[in-house]
Amino acid sequence: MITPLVHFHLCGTGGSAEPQSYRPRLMPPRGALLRTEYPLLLPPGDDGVVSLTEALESWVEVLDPGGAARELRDNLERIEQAARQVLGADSGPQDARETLATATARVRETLALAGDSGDRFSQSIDQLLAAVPECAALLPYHDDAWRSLLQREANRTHWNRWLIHREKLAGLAEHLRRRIEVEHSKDPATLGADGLSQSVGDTGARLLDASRLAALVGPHRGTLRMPQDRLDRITEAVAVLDQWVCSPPAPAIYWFVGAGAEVVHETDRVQHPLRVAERRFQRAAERLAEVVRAARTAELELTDEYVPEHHGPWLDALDWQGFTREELSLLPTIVAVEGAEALADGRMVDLVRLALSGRPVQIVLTVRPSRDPGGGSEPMTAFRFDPGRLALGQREALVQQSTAARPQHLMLGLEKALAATRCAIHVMAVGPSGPTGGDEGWLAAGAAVEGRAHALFQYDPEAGASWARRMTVDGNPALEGDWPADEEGAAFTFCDYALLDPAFAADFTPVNGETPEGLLCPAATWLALDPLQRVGSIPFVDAVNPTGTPLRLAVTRRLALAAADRLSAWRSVRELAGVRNQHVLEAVEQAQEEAAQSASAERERLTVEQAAALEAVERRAATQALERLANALVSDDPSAVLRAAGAPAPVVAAPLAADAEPVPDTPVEEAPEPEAVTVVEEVSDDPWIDSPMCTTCGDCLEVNSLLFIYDGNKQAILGDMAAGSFRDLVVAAEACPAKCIHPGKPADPSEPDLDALIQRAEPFQ
Amino acid sequence: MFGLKSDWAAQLPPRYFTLEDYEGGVARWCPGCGDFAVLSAVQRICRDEQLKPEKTVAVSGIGCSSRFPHYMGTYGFHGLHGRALPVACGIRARRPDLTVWVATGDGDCCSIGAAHWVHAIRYNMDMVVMLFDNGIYGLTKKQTSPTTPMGLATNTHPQGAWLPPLNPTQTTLGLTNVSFVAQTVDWNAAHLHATLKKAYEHTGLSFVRIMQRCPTYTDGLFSEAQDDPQQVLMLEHADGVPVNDSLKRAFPNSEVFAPGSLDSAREMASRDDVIPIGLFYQDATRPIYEDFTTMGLGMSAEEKLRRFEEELDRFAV
Repeated sequence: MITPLVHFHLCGTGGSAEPQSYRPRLMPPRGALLRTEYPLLLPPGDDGVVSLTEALESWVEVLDPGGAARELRDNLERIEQAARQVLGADSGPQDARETLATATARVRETLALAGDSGDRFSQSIDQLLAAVPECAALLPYHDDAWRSLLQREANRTHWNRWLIHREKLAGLAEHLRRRIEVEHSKDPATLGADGLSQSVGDTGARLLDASRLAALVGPHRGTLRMPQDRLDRITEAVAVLDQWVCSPPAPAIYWFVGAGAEVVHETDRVQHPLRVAERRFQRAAERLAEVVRAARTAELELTDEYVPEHHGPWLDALDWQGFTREELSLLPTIVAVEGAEALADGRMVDLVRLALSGRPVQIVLTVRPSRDPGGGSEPMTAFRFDPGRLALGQREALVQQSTAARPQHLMLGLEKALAATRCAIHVMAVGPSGPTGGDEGWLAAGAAVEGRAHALFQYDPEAGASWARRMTVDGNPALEGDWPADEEGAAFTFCDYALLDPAFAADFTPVNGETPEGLLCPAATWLALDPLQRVGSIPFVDAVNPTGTPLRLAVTRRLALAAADRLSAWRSVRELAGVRNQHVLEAVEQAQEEAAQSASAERERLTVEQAAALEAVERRAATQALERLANALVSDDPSAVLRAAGAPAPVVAAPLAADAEPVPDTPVEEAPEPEAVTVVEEVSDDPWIDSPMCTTCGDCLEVNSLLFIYDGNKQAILGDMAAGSFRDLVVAAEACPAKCIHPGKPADPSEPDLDALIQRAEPFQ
Repeated sequence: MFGLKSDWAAQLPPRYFTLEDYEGGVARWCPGCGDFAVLSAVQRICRDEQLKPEKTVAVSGIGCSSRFPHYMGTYGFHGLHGRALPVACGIRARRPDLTVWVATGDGDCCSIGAAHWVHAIRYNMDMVVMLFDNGIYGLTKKQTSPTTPMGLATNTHPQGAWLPPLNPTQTTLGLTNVSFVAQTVDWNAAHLHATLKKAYEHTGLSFVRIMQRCPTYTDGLFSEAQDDPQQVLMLEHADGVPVNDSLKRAFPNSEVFAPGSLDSAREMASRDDVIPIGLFYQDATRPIYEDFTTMGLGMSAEEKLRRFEEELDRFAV
């Protein structure tokens, strides 16, 4: 057994694992019904993206705060699962209300509730569907889901800004037009007979005598004319602004998907997406520059500050780098999508050039976390071509390594990227065999994060001047550790994740029979060893076979070293973010040492002081005792001698023990006694029922079955208040064996025998 | 791990039951009867636990409370007088997959059925036994029952009951192999529900005495305690009946009481200055007879015949 296992580990020969037949033991079994953050609800407008679970719960809380719609609350999970089935795994966003209508109809049909429960369920489902925002969409999980989220975020931010600017630019154009009108009115020709005749049109000309009118109208807006070049400039600016305001808005986002990009549902591919995106951005920026130029001209002209010698050349040279943040945000979002393979095969230069240009273009790199991009037939060489780390090297680009399986992390990065005025690089994971959806896709994407194959991070150069502020690895599991582990300490390593990739099938073999003690060790333990200590032991992972039987799989040295590389990459990324940073650890250690030394010195000083104080007190006490004894001896009272001899010594504080704890800087405060809180029971003027106390005897329903109804627990609540009188409330309160009906004050002052009823109601308030 | 929260591995049962699924017609008891509250509490527990109606049985003897199975939308067995417990034990003996609720009255359980009571407690089979104790035979129109208070005039004792009443809680705590004893009142639906829920969760025989008044014959039995909540002592403990703020307001007189000592439980049960409510005693480690009676359940008919033959073959005729 030993020799074949060692051969397998070192050379990869003799592996007997079948592709995709094993599954990491820590992963949920295939086909298990899971509740994930998907489907996501994409509400219209500025509301944030939430999971359908949260959305359903929040809607129910609003429409049923009292918890009466028990049947609906109990079946939210069913509705959610039905919605997931309706959506399917590969679809994009779909109308939320329509999807939920279908899903709830299926649940209704499945449960087939009858009677009051059925009515209540149907009614609450109708209310639920009405609460779904119009135009909201539901997004099922797919590795490609980031595209929908990016599209939504781009649309949302772009149109908001576009509408604000359109109003502003329309206002500028309007003001400039008034200037032109004034200028026009100064023209003598305008006030002449011909001009007036033209201004009133053919019909007006028949009714008015233009020549006589011209004699009456004088130059009321002055005669000093605007220089022609200024008039031309204003006219041109108005034309540009009008054209921009009136023309239909351009799309909010442009996609350029490279041939190597691992995305689905995309037929229109380009050869060099990064270059095309750069050109497209340039073209859009040049078009916008005209508008920006016109807007700035308008602002300067309206305040009469335009100086042709100064502003002319400045505006002529204006390009995207001179745009303000708001002006830049008017540009459409340009997205270039490329695969990591293509990057490794030579597109890296395009990436560097675009990132360093500072152009706010969104670059998305798709990557299979288990593979080495550019590694050819080898699934993973010892040191991996790492797109995320290479992107970090592009100095001022915003970088995030994320996955659609962690939507909160992804959305945060997308928001930052679209708000930034610089290039953003998104490294997005896809499944081991390409983009996939459904629970299995979601689990595999999550496993990439858990196995440190695709560690999450965000680097935002605008977040601060130091790496500590710019870089974050939040969102990863077990930040402090090498690998995440379950409650029993079993770790999930890159080797476990590699089990999901069929390309690694030959790197695992089941361990059969007895093995010498110490030969096999868990992969996490093996990876934590010094390279020299690893010699002589073989790492293994815990897995289950298709029937669910647990077994151990030995892994090859090649895969183990790839895992070591991923561990090293994780440690370095984490250190960049300030987590377990060696500089910080050393500084903390030094500070602790200094604090310990300082505390030790303080303790010694206090001990010396205490000893001196004790000695002084003892001396003084002895002196006082002798004095009292002497006084007693000379006095006439013999009992005074006894009292003096037995006088208690002054109370002296106990000396500090040598190993006593240092005095804390802040004195320990005793917890204050909790103040007695007097609860004043408020007597409500409105009638109410203490429903949890209701014994379901039905007596109140006998009195009035509209005023008193049962809730989902079959306990009484108030129903239609208009259907009952104060008398009903009082009679029911008297009949109630649980005394849980409180009639309150009468709502109708004209009710007969009110005084007597109020008196009867008194004991039940 | 994997972004899964602890409750995210969903296991959706194929069916969903509402309260109506546990209702078996309109309950007919006198207006104001506490039996309504017990019925409602049991139905709510069945609904909350999503117990399959076809896997649930309500068993009773004879008496007002013994109409209970008729009003449950589950299987039911309206037995003979005093024979609720042997029927229930019989069910559990061979059908441990069924949830059993036993409704029995103070006359049914503590008088004619007292012998079965003793042995059912000793058998400790997994069921909830609800003793509807209203201190009177109501169905037979106000006859003295074992728990009728001394001096209460009844049709069988017009001058007042002669003997001190039996204390069923204390009695049960004196029986061998007792594993769960609690006491509650019918006029507080929340405590009643919480107590029965706790009893349902216990594995073994859970004996719950429900102190109630008969609105027709013993209406004033607990009037003083209802008017003065200080006369009720609510037992609180982390292992006891869960108590919320609402219950603390309803029963301000409370005491921390650990349900792990038989001696303390017996002492508490014997108090007559207050009405203690809550969990008196629980010991989930007591032997359960059905662990024995269910042996060989999976045996096929052929196997049974074969073993039968084997036994018979041992005798030569």
